[in-house]
Amino acid sequence: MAESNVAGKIELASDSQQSTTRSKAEIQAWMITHLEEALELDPGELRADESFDRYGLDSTEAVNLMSSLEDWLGVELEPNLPYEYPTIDELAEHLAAGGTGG
Amino acid sequence: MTEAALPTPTQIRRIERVARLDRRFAWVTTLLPFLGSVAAVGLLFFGLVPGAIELILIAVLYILITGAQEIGWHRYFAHRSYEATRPLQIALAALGSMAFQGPLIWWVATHRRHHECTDAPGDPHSPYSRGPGWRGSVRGFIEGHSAWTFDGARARPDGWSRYAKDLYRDPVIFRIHYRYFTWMMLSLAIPALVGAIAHGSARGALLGLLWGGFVRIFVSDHFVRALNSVAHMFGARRFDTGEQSRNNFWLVIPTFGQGWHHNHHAFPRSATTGLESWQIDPGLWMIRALERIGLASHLKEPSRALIEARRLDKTVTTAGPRAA
Ligand SMILES: [Zn+2]
Ligand SMILES: [Zn+2]
Repeated sequence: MAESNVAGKIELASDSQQSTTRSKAEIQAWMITHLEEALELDPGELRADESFDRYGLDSTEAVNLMSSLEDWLGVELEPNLPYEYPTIDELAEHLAAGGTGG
Repeated sequence: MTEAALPTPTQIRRIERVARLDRRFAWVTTLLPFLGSVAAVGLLFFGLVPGAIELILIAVLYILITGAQEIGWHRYFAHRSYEATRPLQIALAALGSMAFQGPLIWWVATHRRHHECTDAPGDPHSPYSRGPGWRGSVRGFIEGHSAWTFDGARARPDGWSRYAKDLYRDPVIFRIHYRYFTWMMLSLAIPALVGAIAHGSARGALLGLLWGGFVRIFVSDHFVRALNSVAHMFGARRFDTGEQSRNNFWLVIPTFGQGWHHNHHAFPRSATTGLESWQIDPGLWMIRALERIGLASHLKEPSRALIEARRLDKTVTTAGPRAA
């Protein structure tokens, strides 16, 4: 776990096309785990095609989600992306395609 | 997006937790300026009396902050009644955030909900929401003035953020919005700092904090809240609007023209609230001044014909609340 993280970081640091190193499925899985914890949901409760709004994601949590994603992906992201891409599906697709800003 | 399912127990727990947090936050924003003002008045008897510096501080901060809240948050962001350049948008968003009226995007969403179903179910702060009779009127007044901010179902009902999608999609505005707490602290720290520098003492900092901070916020907050309580119960009506808003001349100066609240409800997209030459509108003067220096443009105003067409056959003044 720790090793693969380090390897991931090195790979990201040396690669200019960082955001393509994570697939949509990986980003989706990461977001689901992260949000279920942050929003105190039961595992499996969060659906990728439901809007964040439905789970009560407020702006503070949106900002936290984006800054954690920034660390993990190694790219800078606009904090309001969950409002432009309001489901896990849409946001993961946008990020996997290399999108960052708004 | 998809059809909403019933909330699960974990979601209900979460909603309740958020409601508790909101309530605590409402207590802080309501009580802090009040307690600070009580302290300011109490300390008068111990020789801590404000002077010219404090009066200037109050006036300047009131005009900048409460003024930005009216012409910026309200007339620009909520109603888009004129066009503003990017630097002006940012300045208005930031200054208005210091008025203790809540975070920007939430305020805009709440205000749009108010216009969508004014004085009807779904209005976040109608004084007609607490039943008939004089008891209902008293309770309604309190509800519309203050109590609604403590009620999650009114202040943050499901799906409220849909009402301000345009602002959520703007990354710069969003950053100003979510730093709300910082702006609140600045609204207190700036007058304290100015007082400290002007007097060169800790006593000066305290005077600045109490009068330029707490008292100024308390007074501004209750004038703005009076628009939701008083200006929907007492005063003159002249248009066929199907809701209960009223014009109140005495509120015009402290609310930068929003005292013509009935005019505003009749023509919400108008950059001016004064519709007759004698109806002064300090908010409009500010927008016109910004237009002159090239920061604002394309002010929307209803035509004379439209104003006349919407008038009730004669000016009717209804005193006292009506049960909904
Ligand atoms: Zn109103
Ligand atoms: Zn309005």
